[in-house]
Amino acid sequence: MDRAMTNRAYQPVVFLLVFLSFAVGLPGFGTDDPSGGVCERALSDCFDDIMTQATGPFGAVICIVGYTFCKKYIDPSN
Amino acid sequence: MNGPRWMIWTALLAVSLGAAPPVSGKDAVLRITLKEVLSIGALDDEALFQWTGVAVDPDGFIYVLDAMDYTLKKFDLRGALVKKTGRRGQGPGEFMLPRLLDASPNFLFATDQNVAGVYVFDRELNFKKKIPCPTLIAHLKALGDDQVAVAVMSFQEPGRILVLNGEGKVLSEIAYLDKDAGVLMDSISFIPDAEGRFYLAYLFQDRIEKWSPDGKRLWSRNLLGGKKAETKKISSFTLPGETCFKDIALDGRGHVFVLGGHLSKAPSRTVFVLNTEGELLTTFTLPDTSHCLYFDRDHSLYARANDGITLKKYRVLFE
Repeated sequence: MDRAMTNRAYQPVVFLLVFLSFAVGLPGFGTDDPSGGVCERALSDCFDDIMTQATGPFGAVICIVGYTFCKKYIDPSN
Repeated sequence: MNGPRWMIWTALLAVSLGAAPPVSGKDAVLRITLKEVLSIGALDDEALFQWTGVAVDPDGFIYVLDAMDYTLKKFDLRGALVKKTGRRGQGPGEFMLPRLLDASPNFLFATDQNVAGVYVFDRELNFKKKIPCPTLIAHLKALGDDQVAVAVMSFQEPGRILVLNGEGKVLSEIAYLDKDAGVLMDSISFIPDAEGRFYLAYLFQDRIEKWSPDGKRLWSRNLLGGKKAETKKISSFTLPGETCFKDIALDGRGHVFVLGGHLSKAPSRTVFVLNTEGELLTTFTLPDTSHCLYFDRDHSLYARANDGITLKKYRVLFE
């Protein structure tokens, strides 16, 4: 296998992982328009998920922390 | 005879002043350039996939958390992989979302995004223990072999830096947030100095601050002209959508380096350089976007390239 392709191939997965990292579970219900950003969409899904699973305040903190790291590490617009 | 020469020198001085970045203060730095001295990871190798945290021990070994393969890696001074540990999981020494890393003389301290605690490894990457923390951690710095400082995320008590000992006991606390600041307005990066003072960079506010060890704000500065991050409504929360500052670091030579975010001229590349009184000395631009800045004991700067596939080490040159 071309080793160059190995690492390149990981890159699209990065964004998917960000989604999965703090938007685990069911897809969102689209309660608000999160304005299209990758972090905003993942956060919206995460909030929907904690409402579904009734995880309480700690679940909300998990979503917020995920959004913060996404904005700092990943957001392509940043 | 002297007239034209005087005018030429005046014109040259005016041009040089006009071309210089904003400089004030008595110890003005004219210009900073970076010389790359080491590069770890490339598109055509598998050394790194998406690194998140970096730390360097007193002997110069480089440690990196890699989010894509859930590992903590150790590299020698030439950038060769020495050892790695970790895998995906929630057991001892395992990671789901490895994020923050720092080093004391003998230990490494790492966080997992959704874990309320700090993982401790020795320099041979053996997992030693987990330091419990009251809630999730947004930023981490080692203060010694048995002491860490963490910025914690909490709705109930936002805006706190806790100093924890090795058992998780809170030794001291800095409450840095103004009341009613809003959700996420407490998001910070911070760096302690040798005297226990803390420098804070706000992720979603145009604020850089210095705090005393006993929790008093020593100064507060704006670097972006007071720009405010655009907010968005997501579910029932109104949240900032743009970042102001992504990281803050001390170079060990009396300079504070602040990495600008989305609102900077070059997002995630513009670096503001301040003195310890908060006066802006100069700015420079990283060759590639980064989420963090890290200085080792030799004053070398580490930053990201290739979206986390590459770790760059630079010698910082002052002119």
